[in-house]
Amino acid sequence: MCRMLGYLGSPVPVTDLLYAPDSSLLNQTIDAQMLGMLNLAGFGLAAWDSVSHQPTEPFLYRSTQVAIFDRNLKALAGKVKTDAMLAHVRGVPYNPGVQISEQNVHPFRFDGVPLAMAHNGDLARFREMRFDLLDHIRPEFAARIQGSTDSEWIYALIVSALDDPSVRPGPDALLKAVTHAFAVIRGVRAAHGIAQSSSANIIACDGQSLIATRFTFDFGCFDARALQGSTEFLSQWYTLGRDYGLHDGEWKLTGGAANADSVIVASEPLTRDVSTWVEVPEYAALVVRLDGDRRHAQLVALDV
Amino acid sequence: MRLAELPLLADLDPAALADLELAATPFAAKGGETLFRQGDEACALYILTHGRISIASRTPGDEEVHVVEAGPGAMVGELGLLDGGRRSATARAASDCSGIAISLARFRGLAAIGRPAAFALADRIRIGVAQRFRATITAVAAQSAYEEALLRSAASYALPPASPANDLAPMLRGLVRFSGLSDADAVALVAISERIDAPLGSRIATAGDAPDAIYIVLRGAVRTGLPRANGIEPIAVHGPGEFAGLAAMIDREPFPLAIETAEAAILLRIERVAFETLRSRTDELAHRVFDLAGQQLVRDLRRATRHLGRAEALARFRAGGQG
Repeated sequence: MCRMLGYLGSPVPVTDLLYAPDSSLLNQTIDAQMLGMLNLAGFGLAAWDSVSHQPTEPFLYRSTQVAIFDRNLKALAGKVKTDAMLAHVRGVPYNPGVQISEQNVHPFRFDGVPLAMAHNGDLARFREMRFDLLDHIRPEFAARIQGSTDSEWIYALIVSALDDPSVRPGPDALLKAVTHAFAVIRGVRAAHGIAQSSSANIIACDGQSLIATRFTFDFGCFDARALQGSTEFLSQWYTLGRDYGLHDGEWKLTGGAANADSVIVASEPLTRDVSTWVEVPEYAALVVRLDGDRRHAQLVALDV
Repeated sequence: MRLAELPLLADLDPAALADLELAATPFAAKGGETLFRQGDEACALYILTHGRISIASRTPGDEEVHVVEAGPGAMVGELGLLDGGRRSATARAASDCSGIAISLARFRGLAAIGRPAAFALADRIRIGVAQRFRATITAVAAQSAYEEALLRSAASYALPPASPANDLAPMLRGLVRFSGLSDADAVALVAISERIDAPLGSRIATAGDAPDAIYIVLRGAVRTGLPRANGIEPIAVHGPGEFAGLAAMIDREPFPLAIETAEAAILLRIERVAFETLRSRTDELAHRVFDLAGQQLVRDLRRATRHLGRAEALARFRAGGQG
């Protein structure tokens, strides 16, 4: 399984999210607190900066290197600030059939499409069902699928469900598209008789809106032996507030919930002390939307 | 004060009380002093004899939510004795207070050599945690701010009839949490259980029902939720290897939450009488089952506390928006 992180809020140095906290995303590569696997199959990020050149275009970085040894990433993260970011470290099963390649590194983002998406989980027996998903993917996006992951197909399903994938969709249209994509997957799984527990925790972000799901198809339905990794409902946590940084020796958002302008969502908290974090409920989505100059983290049931 | 004078421990047998007397040390704190902070490593539990202790939890945005105020006779900081985890809340003396402390290390020492005192104290702690879970759910229910879009329809099917569970011992041992059971203990546990194959959307219990059984999820998942005017507010999902209906069976009070299947599920149902018989035993099977029960009670309480924090944060956000 993978680890991922989304941020939407006031500008912060990328390094403060990726490196600084005691359980930062990159520390989770080798020492995740809520997952017993290494995540060494690549790292990627999309980071937006609203005062940069072409602010709707994110800075993109992808590498199959082990990110904690990537000096280029370290140098860039110390220099760049972001007000919206999606980052992902890829974990894969210990299986020689798995393909480690840049095409399989998250987050996925097709050229000309503002939306980026990262995924934690896997769809059981995906290779058997994937071509039936093509009926629900626009041909121009089907042609752009380059890798071998189920995640890229989920992304293609979501952007295909948007009325106009070339513009930022906003939170409501994004939630609708994600729900539609999951319903399509549910239907295709049923048609193939697939009822094995399959996680679809995703974070989707276009630089202004963010959605994070905590969702598993047929949770708890395992074969006789446990799957590699975890049989728990995969985690997804969030926190909100203002002024993310080191306060009283602790990396956190402060200022209270009433005037929150920033939200962090991650597959596990960035600090070992989880006091100011809460989980996204199972079978639900966190929808981050602007309410004046404040950011509201709304929770919505995913009924698919 | 002698331990036998504490209502919490009054009915322990003299040998168990003597063991606990040896493990206990006095403590005192001045009003305003912090006993422990949320996130600290747990090192001891405190039984209050005088004064009051306020328990508070932090919420997203780094604010505090008051959870409960403990008075004389109450136990504080006991979760670490069940799961060894970090403190889930901050405890401050609301007034000058004193009592006895039992260190985690000494408690573990008693448990390691199989002293009945450890088992008896753990049972009291589990009851206390179940009651705190219930109190936290009551606080969530009293919170008028909740996520309307998160509500779910109530389950529509009654639970189907049970069938013999004889062949389910291998499936039980295949679950990570029950993998430590011996073959014989797994067989013994399913022998006091029945099997239920419940479709998605089956109603296992209604909030307020008297507890008649506990369930172990073997496959699929069960959701607990709080009844609201327009649906059920989800509190937690329990998957394979977890119990459903735990708090009510431990503190012997009505189910605090509705319990429904969130997926088609295979459940082991243990009737209350059989569960109480197991509870009165001190053998390896009872030890393992109640150890797991204690760990889940703590997980459930921590989760409920975070749920309350999330509700407080939502209430503050909405109140801020009106300003």
